[in-house]
Amino acid sequence: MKENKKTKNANIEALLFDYAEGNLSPKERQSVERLIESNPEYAALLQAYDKNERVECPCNVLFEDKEALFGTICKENKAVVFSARRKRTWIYSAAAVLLLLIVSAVAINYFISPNNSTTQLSENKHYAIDKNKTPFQENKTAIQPDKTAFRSAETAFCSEQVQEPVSQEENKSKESTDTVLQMQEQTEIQEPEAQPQETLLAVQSPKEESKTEQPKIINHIILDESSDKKFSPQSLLFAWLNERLSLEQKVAKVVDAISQKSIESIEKLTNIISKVQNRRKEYEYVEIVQVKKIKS
Amino acid sequence: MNEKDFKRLIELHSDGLFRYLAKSMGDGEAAKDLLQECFLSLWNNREVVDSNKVKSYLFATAHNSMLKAIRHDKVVQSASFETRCVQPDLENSQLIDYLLQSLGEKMRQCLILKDWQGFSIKEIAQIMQMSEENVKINLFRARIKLKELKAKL
Repeated sequence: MKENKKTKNANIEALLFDYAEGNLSPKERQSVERLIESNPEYAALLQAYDKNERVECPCNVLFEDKEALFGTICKENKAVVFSARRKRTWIYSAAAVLLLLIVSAVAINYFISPNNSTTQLSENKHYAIDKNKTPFQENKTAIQPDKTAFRSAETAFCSEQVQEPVSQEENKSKESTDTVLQMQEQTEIQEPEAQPQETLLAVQSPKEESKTEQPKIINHIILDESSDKKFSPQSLLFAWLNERLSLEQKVAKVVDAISQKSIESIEKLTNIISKVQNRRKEYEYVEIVQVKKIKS
Repeated sequence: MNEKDFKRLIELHSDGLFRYLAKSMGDGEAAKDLLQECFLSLWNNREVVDSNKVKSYLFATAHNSMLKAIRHDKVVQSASFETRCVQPDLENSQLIDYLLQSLGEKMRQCLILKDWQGFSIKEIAQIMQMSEENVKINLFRARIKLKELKAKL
């Protein structure tokens, strides 16, 4: 009952507020006036209420730190923005560095790789040859740039070559290679034998001149072979590979002769060349040229 | 809302908001802190806040912040109110403080928002998160009490 009365009074206060403030329509005002007349306590409330009763606004109370407030908030905001930008910049930088690393790795791979070495290609006279069409393209990947490894491999190959002519000749005789070739070989090999060792060294390319040991070994092989008067195509080719400036034309003749006579010989030569190529990368393009000549 | 607009809003509303906070709480320093919170909240929500309702937003934020602060420092505040109420000073600013602190919390806030800030009943109801009826009742009682207090002085 008391609760209802309180609620009723609260509602009356709101109604009286509207009445005093003039927010009611004339019809509502009349109903409120009737209510006040019938309830003297409401009349007392209305009398106590004064709509002009106010607390004076202390207009002298001002917030003086407006600039500081603005600076503080915008500073914080800028700091937030800066950190976000910084984060974004960091991500971009990381991405750029990563990209740079990838590009440099690819570039290093490209330039260091012996297949694509521009320095090597520039040294070679037969740079213009289409490498994709050569049968030795796959073998190039096996070439080791390490000079020491190359030298050891070459030495091993040379030692093999000393023993090879006999077995190769046996196979050759079994495979019925014609006598004209043998005659040509003998005649062609006479000249290297007659040439002094120093002359052979003199006609070598500047690059080979630095490697004084290699020609000596090879010449020794040639001399040994010539002394036996058994010169297989591979030994000739090997001689040509090592002393191509002096023997190039001569060996080319031999190779041409072989190519005219037997396709098998060409294939054999190709195999030999690829074998040699694994050891003597500097001759690979010369070899390719020669093989192309043969094929053509 | 860019920084220029924000600065203009600070110029426009910071005094009224500070008065509301300071007189409602009876603590100028705490009012400054809350004022900064209000404007920071406005800046952080500048994309969401309707530019026509910035003032209401600021006062509503201030009200909520104040309620939190009052709840936190309820004992301290009531003690300070008591001392001020016991020794009213007749100087103008102190009289205002005395009158305001003599009112209840809701009455005081409704009165400030209505008389000092010129908010409508509806706006006050939104700011204080109460019904319009309650705002009217608080205002009605506040004015009656003011009249009584002034009569006693």
